[in-house]
Amino acid sequence: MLMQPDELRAATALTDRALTQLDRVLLGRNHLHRMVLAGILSRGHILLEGLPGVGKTALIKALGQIMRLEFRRVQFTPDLMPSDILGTHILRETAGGAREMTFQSGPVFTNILLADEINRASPKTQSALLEAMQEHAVTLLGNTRPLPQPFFVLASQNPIELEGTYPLPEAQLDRFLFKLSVGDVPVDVLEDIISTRRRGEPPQPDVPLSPDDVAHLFAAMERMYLPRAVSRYIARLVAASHPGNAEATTQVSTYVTYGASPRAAIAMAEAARAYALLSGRPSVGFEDVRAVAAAVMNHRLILNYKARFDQVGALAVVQSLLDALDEAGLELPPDVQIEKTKGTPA
Amino acid sequence: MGISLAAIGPDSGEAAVDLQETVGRFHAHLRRVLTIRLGLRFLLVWLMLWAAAGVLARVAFRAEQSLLLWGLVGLPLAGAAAVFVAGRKTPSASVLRAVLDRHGRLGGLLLAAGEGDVGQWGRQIPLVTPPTVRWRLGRQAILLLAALAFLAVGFLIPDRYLPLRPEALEIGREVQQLSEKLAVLKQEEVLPPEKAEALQQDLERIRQGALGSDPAKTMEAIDHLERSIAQSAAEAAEAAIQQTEKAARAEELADALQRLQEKMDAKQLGEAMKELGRLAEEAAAENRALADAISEELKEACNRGDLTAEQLRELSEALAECKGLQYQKLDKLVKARLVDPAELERLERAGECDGETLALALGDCEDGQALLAAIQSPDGDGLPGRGGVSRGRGDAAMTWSQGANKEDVHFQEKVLPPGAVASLKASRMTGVSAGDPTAEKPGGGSTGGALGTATAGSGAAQGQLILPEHEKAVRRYFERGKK
Repeated sequence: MLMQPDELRAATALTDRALTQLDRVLLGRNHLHRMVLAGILSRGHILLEGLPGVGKTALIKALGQIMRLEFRRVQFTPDLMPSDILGTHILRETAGGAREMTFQSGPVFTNILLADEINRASPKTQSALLEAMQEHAVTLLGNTRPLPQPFFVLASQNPIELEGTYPLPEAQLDRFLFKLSVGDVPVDVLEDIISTRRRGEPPQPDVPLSPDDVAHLFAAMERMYLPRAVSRYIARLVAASHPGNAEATTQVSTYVTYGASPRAAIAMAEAARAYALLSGRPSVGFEDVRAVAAAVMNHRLILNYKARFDQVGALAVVQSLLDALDEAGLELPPDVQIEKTKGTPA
Repeated sequence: MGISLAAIGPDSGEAAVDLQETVGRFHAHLRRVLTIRLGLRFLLVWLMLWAAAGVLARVAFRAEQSLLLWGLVGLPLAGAAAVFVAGRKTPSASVLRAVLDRHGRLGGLLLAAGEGDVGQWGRQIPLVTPPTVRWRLGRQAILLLAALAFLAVGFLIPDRYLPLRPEALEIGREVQQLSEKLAVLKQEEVLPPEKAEALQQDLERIRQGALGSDPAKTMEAIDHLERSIAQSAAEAAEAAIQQTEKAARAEELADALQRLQEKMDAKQLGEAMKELGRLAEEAAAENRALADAISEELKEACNRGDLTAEQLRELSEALAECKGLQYQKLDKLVKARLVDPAELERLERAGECDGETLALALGDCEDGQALLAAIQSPDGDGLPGRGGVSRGRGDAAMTWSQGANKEDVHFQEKVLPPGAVASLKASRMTGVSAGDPTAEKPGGGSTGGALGTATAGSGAAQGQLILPEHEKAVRRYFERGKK
């Protein structure tokens, strides 16, 4: 049975409180906050992309404070080594004078790891996070150590066109639930920041969530209902991102080399559940899928050189899929149309 | 078509039925739209095919317009196909439920309600009104009108604009006339049934193989068949005359013997009666009706030469009836225009009975031997009042007098007109027309021939150039379509 209104209302109150806090800390980023919270509720890792100074670190730091989760930050640099993140064994002398190898855990042993400017580290260091992100564990010298739960990697990266960056490999990109773009803020928001914040320092969250609240939210997520028609829509979206698929759009056929993986479909379903929860609904609708589809798929599509020549991005390709595919799978002749709801993209 | 789902839940079976009804109504509505759309599309295709076939049939085969009405059969078939295909193409109920959920912005609640128990949420689901189904008819309507116009063209092409089939040669009238003649010959047993049937089949073959491109062949075949039939009819007429003559001769003798039975001596009477029996037997040999009419007792009396007065009268009546039958037979042949009416007059003359003269001759003769010999002559021409240029006694001496001189006598040379067949073979087709010829004023036409200046399809011809001997053929040609 669906989560009943009273149960949902309690969960929604928590998410609303978290969102309100985030919106108060970081002005003018409401949609971004919603997506980040959806990612957290989906237990997914998030990649934030944006130029320096747009508030990426502040957002993640505020999220950690609101959810009262342990938060650590690693500034990725080209000379950063995997052991700097995962930890290493060091030789220590015990009280009895004996010497032994002791594991010194790295910053990855936390709840929220902020991997700042992750694309400045070398591929070797970037890959050190693969097991931690997927298995939520770290293996060193044959010993596997589990990470604290929940565990999230919230990474920020500069646009890859900048100097001194190493693009993340596809395997690692695929492990991020969302890739969110943090853009510029409007003038009015900038004015508010300048006027209300001394040196731009955000206010501290005043009503953070308790561990029980967080647990309650994750429990609510387990009860979100995903109808078959919606799950089929997700499957069709992901399948259509592959060139050669019957429902693939012209843009997909022209610009995409490899489409999204099954992990993308799983991620999209989870993210849609979280988005529905944030919207105060017990079941997932088509609009929830449409809301998270771009964030889930845009970093998973591998575009070809022609896309680069034509300056077509992954977001445009995903948008073409959302425009072309009918959510309900309704196949009608071109001259017969069903009136769409106002505001629903055609 | 709104529905409230407020009561959907564990205790709301009625509302769940309403949801099913709404989805069902939406499904039925969409199916109706698709059926009409597909029906029009199939109708359009059928109209195009129908019109194309109709125009082709009219132009190539000169099909009757009523024949094109068979195309109406395709309309219910198109409708049935539309219903069937629309049923398969109409989205399923689950898809339509998803459409309603999306349209009502219900966030999957309607989908969840369709898949299971939604509990208290059933009271919070708002009204759902199915979306409007829009169908753009424009292009299809234009094509449909074009197809209807195309079909109308197929139906309304006037006959005069249709090209004629050059291979068609209308000989229906000739075939009918010959068929009627054949039927008369078969009925009168002039021709055996097998031969009549064979001739009828030949006639049918000629009709089917009649080609306008080679009319000479057809006409020649018809002429040949007509001559064959006429020959059979003429032979039958001649046979009827001969039989009538034999019967008449026997009847004359029978009548004479009735009158002289008391006067003649027994020997002469016996021989005369035997001769009468021979003549009657000869007549009966070629006439089955007469043979049936003469009983065995009568034949034996004839052979014995002791016919009674009653038997003589009976024989005379049978012979008279035989003559009547022959007359009727020839009369039918004359009416069927198989035999010249003059033949009927010949038959009447052949059947004239002059029994009294014969009786007087027999009575006046002392011994009657000469007359008896005349009667016994091979063809009976020795009888008084008989004879002619081609008939007479074979042993009569030929008399030659006023012989002619053949010197300086020559046949007058005369150029004979070309035969009908030869002229047809030399003919050349310059065009055909379905309309009646328009007579033009004399002096304006060519001098090349009857149809020398006629233009194909124009219907024009020079009236004054149609020669009398061609008039019948021309009329028959232009009247072939009216039949």
